Amino acid sequence: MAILNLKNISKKYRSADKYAVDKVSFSLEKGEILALVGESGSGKTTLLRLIAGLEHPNEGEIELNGNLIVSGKKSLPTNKRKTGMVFQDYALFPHLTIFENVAFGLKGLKKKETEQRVFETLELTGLEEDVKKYPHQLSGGQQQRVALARALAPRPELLLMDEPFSNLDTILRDQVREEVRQIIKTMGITAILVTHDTKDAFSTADKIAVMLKGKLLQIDTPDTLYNEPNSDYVAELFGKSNNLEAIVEPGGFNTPFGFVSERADCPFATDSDNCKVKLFFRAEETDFCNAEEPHLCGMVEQCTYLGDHMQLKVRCNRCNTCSSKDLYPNSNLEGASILLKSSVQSWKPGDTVRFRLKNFKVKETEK
Amino acid sequence: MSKKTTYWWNKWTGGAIVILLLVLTPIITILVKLFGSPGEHWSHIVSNLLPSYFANSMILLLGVGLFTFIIGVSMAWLVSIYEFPGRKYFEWLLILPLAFPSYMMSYSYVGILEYTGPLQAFLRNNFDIHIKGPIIDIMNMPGAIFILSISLFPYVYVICRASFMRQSSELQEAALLLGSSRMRVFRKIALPMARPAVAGGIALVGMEVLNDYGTVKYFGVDTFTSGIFRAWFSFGDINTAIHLSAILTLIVLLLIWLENFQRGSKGWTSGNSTSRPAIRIKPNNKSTRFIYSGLCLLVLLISFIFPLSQLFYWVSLTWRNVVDAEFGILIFRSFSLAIGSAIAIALLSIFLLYTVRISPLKWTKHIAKTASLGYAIPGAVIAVGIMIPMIEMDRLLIWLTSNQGGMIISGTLAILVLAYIVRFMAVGYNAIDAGFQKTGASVNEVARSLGSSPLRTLRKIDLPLIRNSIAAAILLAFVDILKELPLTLILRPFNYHTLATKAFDMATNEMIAESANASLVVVLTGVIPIILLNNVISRKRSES
Repeated sequence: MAILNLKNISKKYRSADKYAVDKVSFSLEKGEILALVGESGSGKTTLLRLIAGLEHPNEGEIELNGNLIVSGKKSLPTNKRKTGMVFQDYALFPHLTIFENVAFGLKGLKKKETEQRVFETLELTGLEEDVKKYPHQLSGGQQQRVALARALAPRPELLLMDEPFSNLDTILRDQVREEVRQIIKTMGITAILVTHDTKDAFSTADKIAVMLKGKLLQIDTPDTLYNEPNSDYVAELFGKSNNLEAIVEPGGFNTPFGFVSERADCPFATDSDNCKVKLFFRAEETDFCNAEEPHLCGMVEQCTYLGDHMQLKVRCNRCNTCSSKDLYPNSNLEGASILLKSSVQSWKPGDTVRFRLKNFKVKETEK
Repeated sequence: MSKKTTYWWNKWTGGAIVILLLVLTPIITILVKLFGSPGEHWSHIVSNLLPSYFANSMILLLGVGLFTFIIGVSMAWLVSIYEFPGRKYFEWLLILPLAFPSYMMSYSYVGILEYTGPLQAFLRNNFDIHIKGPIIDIMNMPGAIFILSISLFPYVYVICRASFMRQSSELQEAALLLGSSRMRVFRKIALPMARPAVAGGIALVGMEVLNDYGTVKYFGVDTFTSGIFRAWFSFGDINTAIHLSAILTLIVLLLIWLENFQRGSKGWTSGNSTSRPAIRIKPNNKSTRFIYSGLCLLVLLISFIFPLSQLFYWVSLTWRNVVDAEFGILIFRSFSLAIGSAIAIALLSIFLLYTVRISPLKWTKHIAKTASLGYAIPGAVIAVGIMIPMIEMDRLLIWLTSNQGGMIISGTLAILVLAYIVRFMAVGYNAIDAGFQKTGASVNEVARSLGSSPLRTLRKIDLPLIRNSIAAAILLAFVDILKELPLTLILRPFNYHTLATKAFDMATNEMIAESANASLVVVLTGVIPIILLNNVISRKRSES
């Protein structure tokens, strides 16, 4: 059952000439975690604030748990929506203790029940011993847990998190991400997480929505998004990838780096030979091979050391051993270059690279 | 399930609009009445007095603007860039003249320079120099420029210093590394970057100049404000007062527009707030350091210590005759009126700003901003603009009830309080706005997302977090109201005196030495927030 449903939501700030959120529609199933990903200014935080009721859209409707909460000029005030919120800076109440912070959203409960609920929630987030402390006495990671506990204590129908991990250092971040996902999943709460970090999105979310300039580009599972991006932007966002120009020939594709055989699992209607296409593949989707095997060939132009791997910028160099020269005589493809990832660290500029595509997708170029 | 409401309308927005209308009453009145027929004295004033009102107001504006610019900017540059003996103290001591209302400053200076004054006595006794009359006659235009400049320069100084401090040190260091001299850095980097701030400060000074009545009246310089008083009190010609007020309002609006225009879209921020402050330079030469100290001391002596000493001197001569039970009642009345109005200002400011905070609409910000416009409108104009609808309401009441009891609404303290609110709303507004800014919006938003109603959120979260700012708002508004003269003169109930009007009354009735008692109370009270707020600031700085 869809718990949240957005229909054609648009928001334009008066001072801006472009829409901050432009006709966004999606729905979210109960218990799902959605990550809203995009660069700053893409409208992801505005979208979150619209769902929370902190802003009102110019157009569109929002349905939460079967109730229409936004429609036309009518809106359910923020405090009447059952949404919890975790802010980037945590926004803990500095003048209240941890206990009072977490208990703030619990109303109409007896004292005993309140206490029980607070401790239950704090236990879940692993913070039960610090209830009398004030926020400034806690570390960043602890503050993050309190913020989460405070949002979860009233058992919201929807949890909204705005860049919840961006104030944590790298090591703590990996750990907290995992824990947060665990906690949300344990409680079975539906959550939306706004982030500009794709790692956050991959490690916590069930579904990822990519936003650009107010528009929702794609919403899919992380797996689909990575392997079947519907645009160059989405592809680029989730890792280095290549769009290699190629010409369709019988049995395969001719590229500046050599001939690529057609793949059975990647059918392509080759009814029009000599038409131009693009081969999409990720930087890590290649194998290096030796000269005997059929291969593509190029020259290392630049190599960047990145710790666990090396990133190579490879340019086609028309060497004698490969066949690209004859098969691909078009001279203005001289400049074509691709990015490859290598776990071998010994590359130097000028080296010849022989490689094979493990996996690729064919995209027709627009004319 | 729950009830949906129209997203922008609630009792907060409604209340804010009511407050806005109330606060805009005087301006609306003036503008509406402008289309009525001018009074009987209007043609006389236009042909005989208006040109000199206009010329005098302009000369005063330009003169005071120029001198406050020179003193304010140079002092700000000295204390923010150089290290010299006493720098830490001069930094806030130079704000003290703000505690000294300019009309009280003018009484002091007349006393200092007159035949019986300390300066001449000193010259007579030690050097046998005899001068007839005052050493320098300051009861004229140059004198008014001098007095207003030394009492108003801290507006430019404070804003300019804040701007210099905010400028990132990296920027100035980059210029130095590129081979610029300090002077060139000042001219090419620091001053242009501080330009919006400097202009803002000078605009404030200009508004105070146009607001001034006490100094120009005492020195016999005819300006628009003194013209309004003449029309109101001497001619009893309300319509002429309105027309003069309208012209003055237009001049002020022009001033505001000019200030906004020069700022334009050039909202260049002077570096980010986290940048470290520039390291001060300690001049190598010892005498240079003492020259800097001497300069600051000279400005401080002229703008605060000399006139204050004169007050103390007069008080020592006259307090036996002046300070009695009646004087105690005067102080009590003044203080309670000021505190009451200041609290009202703080409450209304909180209401307005909280509405902005919880509203999803951006235009509520403009409502709040407009409501604090009164700081720009001269007190005399506000007084006229408030008095007229009240008199008309009284007439209506008299007509309705057909009694001959006279004025019911006009001439009460409530009108005075309302006028103070209109005039000083900005003081409370800015202090409380700063508090809300510092607290950030997210604590409020998170509280509401946890199901807390706006009112409960205000009570439990926002108010406790901004209580220091509320205290500052009340204190600052209190002091400003205590010093206020022109508005109080027009709107006070018959025979009702505040410290300010009493000092004015005595000084204009040849009891200048006696007037010092009331002045001293006002000045010393005005010093309190400067010291208090400065302490808060420096404590904050040492903590971080």
